[in-house]
Amino acid sequence: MAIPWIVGGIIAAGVAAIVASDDSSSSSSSSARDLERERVRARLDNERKKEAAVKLAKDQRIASENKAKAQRFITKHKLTITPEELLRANKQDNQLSLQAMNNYNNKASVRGRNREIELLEQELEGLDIVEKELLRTL
Amino acid sequence: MDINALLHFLPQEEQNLNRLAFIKNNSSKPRIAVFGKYNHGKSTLLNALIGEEFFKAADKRETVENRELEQEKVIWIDTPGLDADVNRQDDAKAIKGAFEVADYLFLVHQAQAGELDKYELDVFLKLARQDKNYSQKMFLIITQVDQKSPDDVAIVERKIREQLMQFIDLQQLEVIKVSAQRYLRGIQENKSIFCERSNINEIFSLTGKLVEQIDAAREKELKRLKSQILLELRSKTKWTAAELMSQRAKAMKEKAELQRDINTLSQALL
Repeated sequence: MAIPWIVGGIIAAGVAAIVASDDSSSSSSSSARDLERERVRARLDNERKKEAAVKLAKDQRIASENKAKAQRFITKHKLTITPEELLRANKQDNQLSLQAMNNYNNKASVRGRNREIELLEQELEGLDIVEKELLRTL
Repeated sequence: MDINALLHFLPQEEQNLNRLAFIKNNSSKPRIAVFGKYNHGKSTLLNALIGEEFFKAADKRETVENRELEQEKVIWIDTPGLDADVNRQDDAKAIKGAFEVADYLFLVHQAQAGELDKYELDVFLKLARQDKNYSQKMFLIITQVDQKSPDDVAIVERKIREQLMQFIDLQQLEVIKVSAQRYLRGIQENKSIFCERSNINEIFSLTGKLVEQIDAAREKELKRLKSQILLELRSKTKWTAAELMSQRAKAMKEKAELQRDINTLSQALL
């Protein structure tokens, strides 16, 4: 009677071993997938970071170029506005033109010339009046 | 006619404008100013001409203002003697004043002084050059000829004429030689021979001619001054209009360039 028990035991052990062997293989496969997922995630993360860094660098370059262009414009026309103000104004409809024109019209030299034009106009009017008066008495 | 308004636009024409205003606002009697260095007999000559001791003869310059005496047909002006001060500011004022208030100038020079000195010539030239017709209104009177022999007076006159010939503006200047003292003595002593020999009659005759001519002369001068001022006014108007156009063009060009650059900048900004 001992043999059947032994055989039974062996069979049971074999089944258990088979079962145990199946469990071990499944666990190993899941870990590999996790690792793969982790790798993919890390790669994507890195790519995103790289893209973000590239975008940041590009944005910075564009901002710097825009600032340089605005500064060149300001320098050329001897304006007192800052490049930042101009760039902010550019993001609103017609505000760039409006702000730049306002700043230009407020320049001392432009105000001075406008005043001079005004005086010359008045002088011409006055000259016309005295000439007519002189001709009337001639 | 608003002289102040004209002066505002033509400050360089101050003298002509003052003269214009003066002619318009004053009687038509000729105004004759006696002009010359101090102590050359201006006041004595004037007193002889008016027949009374109205103008004071002094050894030193006592005033920088003109003195006037209005007679029936003439207004006489005694001017301060020239070259009396180290600072000749007053002479400049006297020259300017003479032009503005006098229709005619009797330039007085005493015979004993010999030929005209440099200062006298300068002043006479300045006066003659104030107006191209002005030399016709100036007369050179050599005074105190009784203080020198006729021959010496003739030499002085010849030398003076030679001096005047050197300057185109003075070449036509009429020269009359007189002795006011001799005339006054003639009057005082009732001796007509002194009066005749004083040659003052020549000035009386000249004055009579000037009285007759004054209306026409002033009318002519008025027209000439107005034309000159009108010319200056038009020149000023032309200049002002050109300047205005230039300033407007500059402003427009600058603004157009700014607008163009704004558009370029707007398109260039990323």
